[in-house]
Amino acid sequence: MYSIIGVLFWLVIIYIIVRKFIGHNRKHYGWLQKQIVTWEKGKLISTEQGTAILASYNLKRVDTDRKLDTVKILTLIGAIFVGLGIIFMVASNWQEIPKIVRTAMLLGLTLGTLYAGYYVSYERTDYPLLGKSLFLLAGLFWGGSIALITQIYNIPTSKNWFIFLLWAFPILPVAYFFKNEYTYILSSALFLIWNITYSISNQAANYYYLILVFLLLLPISRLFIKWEWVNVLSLVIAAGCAVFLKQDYFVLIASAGLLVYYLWVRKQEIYLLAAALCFPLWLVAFFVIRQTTPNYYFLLPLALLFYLSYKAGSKAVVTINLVSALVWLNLTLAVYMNIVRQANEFISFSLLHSLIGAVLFAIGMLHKNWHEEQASIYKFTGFILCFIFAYILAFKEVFVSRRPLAPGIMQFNSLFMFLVFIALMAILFWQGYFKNKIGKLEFIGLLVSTVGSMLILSNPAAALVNTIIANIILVVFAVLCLFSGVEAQNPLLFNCGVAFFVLFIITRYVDIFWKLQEKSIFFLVSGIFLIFGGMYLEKKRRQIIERMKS
Amino acid sequence: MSKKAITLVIAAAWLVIALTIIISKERILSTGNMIMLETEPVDPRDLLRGDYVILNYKISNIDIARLAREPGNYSRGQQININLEPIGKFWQPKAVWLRTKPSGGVNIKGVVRNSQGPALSIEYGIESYFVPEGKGANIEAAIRRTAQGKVAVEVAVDNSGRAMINRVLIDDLPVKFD
Repeated sequence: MYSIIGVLFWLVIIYIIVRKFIGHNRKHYGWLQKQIVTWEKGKLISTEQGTAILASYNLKRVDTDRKLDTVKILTLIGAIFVGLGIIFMVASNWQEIPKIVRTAMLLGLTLGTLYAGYYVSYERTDYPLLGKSLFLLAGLFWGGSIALITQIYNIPTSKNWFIFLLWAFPILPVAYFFKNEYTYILSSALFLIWNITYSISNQAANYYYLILVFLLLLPISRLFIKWEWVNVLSLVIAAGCAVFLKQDYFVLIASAGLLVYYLWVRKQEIYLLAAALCFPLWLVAFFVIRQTTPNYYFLLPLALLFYLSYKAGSKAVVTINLVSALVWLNLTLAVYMNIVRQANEFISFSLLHSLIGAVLFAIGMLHKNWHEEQASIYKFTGFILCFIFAYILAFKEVFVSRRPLAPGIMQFNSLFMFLVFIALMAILFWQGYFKNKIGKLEFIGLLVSTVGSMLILSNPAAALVNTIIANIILVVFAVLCLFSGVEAQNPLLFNCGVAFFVLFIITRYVDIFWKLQEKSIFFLVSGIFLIFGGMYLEKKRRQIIERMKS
Repeated sequence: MSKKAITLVIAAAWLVIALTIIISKERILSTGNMIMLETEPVDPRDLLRGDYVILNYKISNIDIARLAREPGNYSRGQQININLEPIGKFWQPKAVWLRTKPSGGVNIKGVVRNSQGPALSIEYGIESYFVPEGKGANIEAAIRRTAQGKVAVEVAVDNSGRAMINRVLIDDLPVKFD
C-alpha cells in the first residue's frame, strides 16, 4: 500500500515538473495552432504562410473536426455506460418490482430509446451524434430486455448462445437502415460471441456463422468501409477458436471463403491477409486431429496465396506465407516422426532451421531483378533463423546435455536443404549476383553459416569444436553486418552489427565467468567493462554514422 | 419506406420477439402439468443474468437399461423423451422413447449431453434457476442444513414435453427473496 502511495507521490511530482517546464510552452503552441487557422480564415495570412509558421515551430495543423470527435466520444461513452448499467441492473435480479412491470418498463425504455434515436436523427437534425448514440443505447437496452426475460423464465445458461443470437440479429436492421456503425460493431461482436458459445455448448461447429458473415455481415460492411475489418478480424478469431475445438472444416471454409471473397467480391488486401492467417490455422487444426497424416493439400492454397501476394505487392501477406510455409514444414516433419516413432532432437532441429534460413536468404537474393520489394522479407527471415539457431548452439551445454544424434528425418532434410542451397548458389553465381561488394559479404556469411552447420551435423558429439564453430558463425554475422552497413551506407544494418557484437560479447562473458565462486568480482568487472566498452562503441558508432550521413 | 416507418417496423419486430418468448413460456406455466423433481444445487454466476443456482435433478442421470425403452439411437446430442410417473411426492422416469409416445404419465423432452453405454446424462432446459445477487449462497446454506430429498423443484411440462421451472421449494415451502 505504502509503495503504491510512494509511486503515486513521485508521479505527481514528475507531472508538476513537466507541466511547469513543458506544459507552459504547449499552452502557447496550442493557442498559436488555433490562431493560425483563424488568421487563414480571415485572409490575414495565406495557407502557405500558415504552414510555414507551423513548420518553424515544428507544429502540426489543428484538426478543426476534433471538437466534433470529442462530442462523439462523450455521447458514445455515455450510451455505453447507461447500457451497461441497465444490463448490470438486470444481472442483479432486483425483486422489488413485479416481473411483468420490470419487463414492460425495460421494453418500453428500449422501444422509446429506439424511437428517440430516430427522432433526434431524422426529425430534429441538429443532434446527429446524439441520435447515433441513442440507436446504440437502444441496442444495448434490447440486450438487457432479452437478458431479463430469459432470466425470469430461467432459460438455462447452456442456451446462452441463443440469447446472444436474439440480441445480435434484431439490432442488425438498425445498423443497416440507419447506417449506424456502433450497432454494426455491437452486432458483429455479439455474433462472434454467439458463434463461440454455440460451438462450446453444442460441441459442434457453427457453420451458420460463416454463412451469416459472408452473405450478410460483410456485404453490410460496405456501408461502413472504416469498420470493414471488424468482421474480417472476427472470422480470424472464430477460426482460431475453432482450432481449439478441433473443428478443421470450419477453419477451412472460413479460409477458403475469405480467399474467394478476395478473388471475386472485394479485392482488398485485408481479405488476402485474413485468408493468409486462416489457412495456417486450418493446417494446425488438421494436424491436431490427424497426427499421422501429412497435409499436402495445404500447399495448393499456399501457392495461390504466394502468387496473389506477389501480384498485389503485399509484403505483409508474403511474410505470413513464409511463416506458414515454415509451420507446414515443421508439422509435416512432426507427422513423419510420429509415423516412424522418432523422437525430436534439438541439435538436428536447430541445424535444419539454420540451413532453411540460408536457403531463404538465397531466395531473397534471387529477387534482385524480380519483385525486389519482397527480397528483404526473405533475407530478414533467413538471417533471423540462422542467427537465432547459431546463438543457441553457441552454448556448450546444448551439446553436452544432449545425447548423440542418430541419423534420421531431420538429418536427411538438412542434407536436402544443403543441396537446395548449393543449387541456389549456382544460379546466383550464374546471374552474377556476387560481383559487387555487398553480394560478396552476403556470400561469405551464407558460406560460413551453411558449412558450419554441415560440420556440426557431421560430428555432433564433438561439443567443444561445435561450440567454437557456432561462435565463429556469430562473430562472422556481426562483422558482416558492420561491413555491409558501411558499404551500403545503411545505419540500421550497421547498428544491428554493433548490437549483435555486444550481445555476443556479453553472452560469452556471462557464460564463462558466471561459474566463478566470487560473484562480486563478476559484477564489478562486468560493470567497468560495460561502461568503458559502451562508451568506446558509442563513440565509434557515432563517428561512422556521421561519416555515412555526410 | 421512410425512416419513421423503418423505426416502427423494427420496434414492432423487437416487441414481437419479446412477446413470443414471454407468451410461449407463460403458456407452459399456465397449461402445463406440474410435477415435482428432486435436486442437488450449486451456485455460480452468469455475466449477463447474474447469480443462478445449477439444478442437477435425479432424472438428469438415468440408466435406460432399467427402463422400458424404444429401440434407437440414444447417443450424445440426440433429442429424447422421458415418460415420468409419480412415485410418492416426486416424479420418476418410467420409459424413454424417441417417436412412439407411451400412454399415461407426463412426457418431458431432453437432449443427451453424455452417454456411456446405457447411462445417459440428459439436459431438460430447466438446469438454471436465477436468484437475486448474493442470495444463492443463502439458499445453498439452507439446502445444506436440510435433509436429503427436502429440496424440490416444481416444473411445468406442456403437451409437447417442453419444461419450465415454476418454483423452487425447500422443506415444502417456496423459496422467496425478500
